[in-house]
Amino acid sequence: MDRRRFLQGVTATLSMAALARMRAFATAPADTRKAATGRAGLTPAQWQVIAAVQAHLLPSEPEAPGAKDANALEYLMFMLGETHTDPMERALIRDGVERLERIVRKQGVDTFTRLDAAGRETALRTLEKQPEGRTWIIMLLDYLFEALLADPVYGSNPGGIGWKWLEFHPGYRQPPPDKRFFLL
Amino acid sequence: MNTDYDICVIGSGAGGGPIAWRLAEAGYSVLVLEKGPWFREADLCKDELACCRRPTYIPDQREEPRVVETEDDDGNWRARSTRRSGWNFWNGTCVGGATNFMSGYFHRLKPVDFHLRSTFGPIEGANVVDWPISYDELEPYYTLVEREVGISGRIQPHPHLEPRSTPNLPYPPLREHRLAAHVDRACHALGLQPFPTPRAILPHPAMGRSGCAYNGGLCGSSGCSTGAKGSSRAALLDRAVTTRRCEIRPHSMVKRLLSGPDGKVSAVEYFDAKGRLQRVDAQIYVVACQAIESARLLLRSPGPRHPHGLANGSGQVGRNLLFAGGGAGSGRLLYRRFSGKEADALREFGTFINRSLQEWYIIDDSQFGPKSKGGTIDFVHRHPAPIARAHHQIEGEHGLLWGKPLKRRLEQHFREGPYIKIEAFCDWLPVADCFVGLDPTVKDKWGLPVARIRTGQHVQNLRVGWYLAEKGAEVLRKMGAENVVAFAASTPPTNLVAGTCRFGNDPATSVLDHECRAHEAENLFVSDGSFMPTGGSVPYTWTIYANAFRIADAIDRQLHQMT
Repeated sequence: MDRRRFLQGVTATLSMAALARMRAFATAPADTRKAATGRAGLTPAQWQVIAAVQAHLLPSEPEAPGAKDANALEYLMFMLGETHTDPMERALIRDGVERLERIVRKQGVDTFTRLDAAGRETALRTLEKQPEGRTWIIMLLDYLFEALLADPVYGSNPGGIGWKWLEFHPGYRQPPPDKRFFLL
Repeated sequence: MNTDYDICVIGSGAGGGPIAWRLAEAGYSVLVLEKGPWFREADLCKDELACCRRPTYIPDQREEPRVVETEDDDGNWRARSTRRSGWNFWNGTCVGGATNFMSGYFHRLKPVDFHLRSTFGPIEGANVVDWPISYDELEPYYTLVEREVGISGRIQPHPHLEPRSTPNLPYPPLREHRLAAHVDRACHALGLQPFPTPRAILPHPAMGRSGCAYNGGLCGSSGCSTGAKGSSRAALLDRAVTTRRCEIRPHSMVKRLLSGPDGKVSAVEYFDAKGRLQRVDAQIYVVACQAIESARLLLRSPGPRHPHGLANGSGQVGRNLLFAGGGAGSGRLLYRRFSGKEADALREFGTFINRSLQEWYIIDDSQFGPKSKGGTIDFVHRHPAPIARAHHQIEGEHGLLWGKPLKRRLEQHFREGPYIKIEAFCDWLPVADCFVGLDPTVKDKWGLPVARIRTGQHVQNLRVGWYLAEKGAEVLRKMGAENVVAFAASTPPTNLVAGTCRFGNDPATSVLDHECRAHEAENLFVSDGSFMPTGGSVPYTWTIYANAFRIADAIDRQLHQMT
């Protein structure tokens, strides 16, 4: 699915508060915006939550790479910080982490990373029942697929690890660093 | 007359390239204004993020949206901006236009396509008319395209093969994937006559371009890194520039065409790369911005003799918008059903299937109804785009799939055997509810009203689409394919657009004359797919190229007379 079309569906399901935050964010002067977004406006603890969610959604196995093998966290950090990225995406990612953490606290634990595998599954399945939560999980899955299957020039899929796993052949010519999409 | 250029061409895709090259070759000075950037071969890579997941080759919809109207279940038209929707109908905004990103499945129209109305009679609810020219008039130009753009393949007789002035295509076929033999075998068992799909791809170096690098299905949506694909840029504009009589100005967004009291176009105003308004004049103006943008440009260019938009006295500019109607389907051959050697052959990834069927170009089947216009079936690789394909694997029976179950699904999807896809093309019948206008409120980043597109369609498109898709599915089943599905979608495929400035002999019902000159402005031509009153049951690109070469000859004659 095309990302913009997907995001359009997302806005329909966002809470009013989140929408208000996004609007404030989108209209902030450029310098404020830059300051607010350092690493997309997520705290180190929130990034740890995302790393744990990524590992749960795409675990590493000896014969089949997972999120960590694909450098998925670094990829997401890079893409969210990239200037072409729609500010709405950053807001959506933060909103989802906050939703997940609220669910986790209701489970009696202070943060997602302290849950065991079963607890993480329960929390994510609960989040999935919220339309906004489901959308967030799909966004994370899409970023995982990008990290696993985009050209290694973007810093993920090291050595074509995802391509080799799924028997994909990249074709001629692969992009050199100066031809990455945001430099064209 | 002293003008800046002899010819000013607006847009550089399949409609612009032939004009620029032919007339520069003939000694005229040509200016090409292109709103997008000028990507060179070195810029064009096989990169799924660039081609398909970020707006690299199309405008950022936050800056240049469109408004698309779709019909809801109650028959009301619902308008939605493309600002946040991926369904934006742009197909490549750069030098060479959408031809950079085409797959290059090339078919000619058939003689019958030029007179559908007199052959099959009127269809209720559709504005089907005959063309003002015949196939014979376009045939020499189809042949010219074969040679100059470079079309490869092998002509094989079949019941609906169109008449040709040469026995074969000038370039031999591209290397074929093992699946082609499977398609052939299944078709022959069903009594059908498949033929190799002509491709606008060079199999070997020629005309200063390199041959195909063999990326299998990756070409579609991606630019070609070798110049083998016959884009307007690689095949024509690069050569036009070497004449030194053709200048291409990228990042030039035309604001409007100005016209004088005599109705003729007098100048073009455009925004340059820095947003400054510039003006240029020429003796002949050619609009080739793809059907939607060409109509939009004429509509926003009123003048003293053109109160409702340039060349729009008939009210026909923007009307009868066409897409490529049709159906689709897919199936899959599993490696485990074949011997080791055959399975290895099926694993090969770089070559092409390149098979087509036109058995039902005319449907003569009492179960379907009266004899009707049908269409073409192409057998192609499923696009390898792994990110998009992975995305489609996330729905499970009880919610989203993730974790190890998702990984096993991905392995199953990607590793157990090749998919084969059917693309069926039929006429998108011209109807009153499929048109382009100017949106009354939404503006682009230059402050110009954006295109508002209504996407109504005739039920016959779906009937024929289903019929063809099901015929293709029979072949897949005969091949032993599994998970065979076939369908026709009610939403228009947006990669092929035509209509909006149909040509004809009557100025009251058409925008352009038989040479694609505006009835109401003798120095204005429209050379993209806008001229087509009906689209034929094939991808349009070959026909647009051929017709643009025909228009170039008409312009040459006109300029000759003027001097």
